Amino acid sequence: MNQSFSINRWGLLMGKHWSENRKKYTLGVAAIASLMLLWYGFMIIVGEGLSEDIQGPTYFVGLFIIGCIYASLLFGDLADKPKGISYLSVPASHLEKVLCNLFFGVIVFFFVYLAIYYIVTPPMLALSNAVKEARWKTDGGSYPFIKSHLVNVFHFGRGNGEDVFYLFHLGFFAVQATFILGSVYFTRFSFIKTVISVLLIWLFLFLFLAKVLGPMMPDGSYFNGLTNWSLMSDGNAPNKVIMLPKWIESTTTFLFKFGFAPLFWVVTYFRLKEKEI
Amino acid sequence: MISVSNLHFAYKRKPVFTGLSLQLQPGHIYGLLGKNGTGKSTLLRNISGLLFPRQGKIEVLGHNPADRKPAFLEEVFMVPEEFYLPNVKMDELLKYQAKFYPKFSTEQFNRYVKEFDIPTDANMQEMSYGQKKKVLISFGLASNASVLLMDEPTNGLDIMSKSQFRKVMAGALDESKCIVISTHQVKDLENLIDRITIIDEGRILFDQTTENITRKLSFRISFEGDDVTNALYSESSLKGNAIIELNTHEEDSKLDLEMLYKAIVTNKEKINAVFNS
Repeated sequence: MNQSFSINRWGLLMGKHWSENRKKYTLGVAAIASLMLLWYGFMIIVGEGLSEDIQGPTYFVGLFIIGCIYASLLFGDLADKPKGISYLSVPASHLEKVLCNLFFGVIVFFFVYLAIYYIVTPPMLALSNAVKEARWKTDGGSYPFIKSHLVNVFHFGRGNGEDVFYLFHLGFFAVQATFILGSVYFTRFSFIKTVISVLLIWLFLFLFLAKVLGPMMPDGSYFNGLTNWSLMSDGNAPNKVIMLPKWIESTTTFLFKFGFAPLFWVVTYFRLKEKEI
Repeated sequence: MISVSNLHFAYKRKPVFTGLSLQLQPGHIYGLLGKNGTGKSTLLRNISGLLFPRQGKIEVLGHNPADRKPAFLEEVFMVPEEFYLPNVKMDELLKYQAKFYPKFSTEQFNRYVKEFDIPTDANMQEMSYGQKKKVLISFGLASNASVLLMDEPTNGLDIMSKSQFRKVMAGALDESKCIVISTHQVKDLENLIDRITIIDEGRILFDQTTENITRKLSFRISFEGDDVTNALYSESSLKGNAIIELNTHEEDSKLDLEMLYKAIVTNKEKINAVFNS
C-alpha cells in the first residue's frame, strides 16, 4: 500500500476522528448557535434589530473568532503527551493526518458554520422585523418603516465594483491556516502565541518597509499599493510615479489572495513530520 | 529486528544517550531495567519514532522509525506509561482502530479482555486507570504487531491484574514477535522476561539472557558467614541472608531479579566480570 496516501487509510482515519470527536462537535454546534441567538437577542432588545449592517459583520466576526479558536485546537492533541503519542502512533501517514484535520477544520467547519448562520438568522430576523414593526406602530408611524432583509454573505459588502466578501473569505482561510500552523508549532497556549507571533511578524514587516526600504527610496511615498512609489514633485513639475512591472503586482496580489492558506497547510505538514513527543 | 547503533540523544542540553548500541531479536521478551530518569522511556520512544536520534541510527524491521511510515506503525505498538484512550465504548474502539492493524485479531482481543476481567459495555472514561491500561495492553497484543513496546505496563495494576498480566504476556509471545518491557518494578517481570538489559546513565550496564544468568549465578538463602563474605552480593532478610554467588556447581536456582538488579547497580564490575570471563 502507498506509504504517503491511501484513500482507504484516510477513510479509516476520518471515521476514527469522527467517532472520537462527534460529541465535542455536536456541543460545539450547539454552542455556536446559542451564542448567535444570544447576540441577535441582545441586538433586538437594545433596539438595534438585525439590520444588514449587523448581520454581515456578525457572520464574519464569528467566522474569524470561532474559526481561529477551533483552528488553534486542531492539532491540540500534540500539546498533551499521552494524546500526542496516541495520535502520532496511529498507522497513517503524516499527509493523511494533516488532510483529515484540514477536512474537518477547514471544509466541515466552514459549511457547518454557514449552515448554523442561515438556520439561526432567518427566524431571528423575522422576530427583529416584527419587534421593529410593533415599535413603529407604537410610535404612531411617524417615520418610514423599512424591513431588514437576510444578507447574502457571498455578496456582503459588494460595492464600488469590489467583492469585499470574497476577500474576507480568502482572508479568513489564510488567517485560519496561520492558527492551524500555530497549533502544531506551539504546545501550550497556541491561540495566544499565534496571535503574538502574527503581530510580531506584521510589526517587523512594517518596520522593514518604513525604516529600511523607505530611506533607500528617493523622496516620496507609496501610492495606490506597495508596487507604486510617488516621487515628491518640486512645485509646478508634474508628479512622477515609479511603478514595478504589472506582473509583479499581479503575482503578489495572487499570492496574498490564494497563496497563504496552502502555504501554511504545507508548512503544517512538514512541521507535523518533524514533531517529537 | 531492532538495531540501535551509536545512539546519541539529549533533551535540550541534558544528554541521555551518548553512543548506546543494542540489538533486539524476535522471539524474546526483553526486560529493560533501570533507575528513574536513566532513559528507558526515551529509548522506547526513539524506537517507536516518537523521538528522533540526534546522532546514530535506529532500524526497526528495516524501517527508520523517525519516518513514521504506516507500514512501520502497523508493526510497532507502544503501550506508554502515560496513555490515552478516546472516550468510546469498546466495540467502537475496535471498529475504528483495529482496522489500522492488518494482523489484528478480534478473537484474541476478546480473549485477553476476558482474561483481564474488563467490563466490555463501559465507556473508556468510565473505566479505572488499571482497566483502561488492560484494554490498551489487550489491544496491543491483539494487534499482533511484530514489535510491542511497553513502558511500565504494570504501573497502576492491582495484585490480581499483575498476575493476569504475566499470564497473558507469557502466552502472547511467538517466534515472530519482539516484546520490550521497560520497568523499575522488577519483581513484576520475574519468570516473564528472557533477556535483561539494564540501562544506567545512558549506557548499557548489563545485557544477558536469563538462561545465561542462572547458569553463571546462583541465588539462594544462606546462614553461613563464609557464604556471605564470599558472595558477589548479599543482603539480610527475615529468612536469613539472600546471596548471589558464582554457580560453580551448575545448580538450578530461581532468578531474583530485584536482587540481581541491586547487585549490578552497586557492584557492576564484579558481576560483569563473571559474564566476561
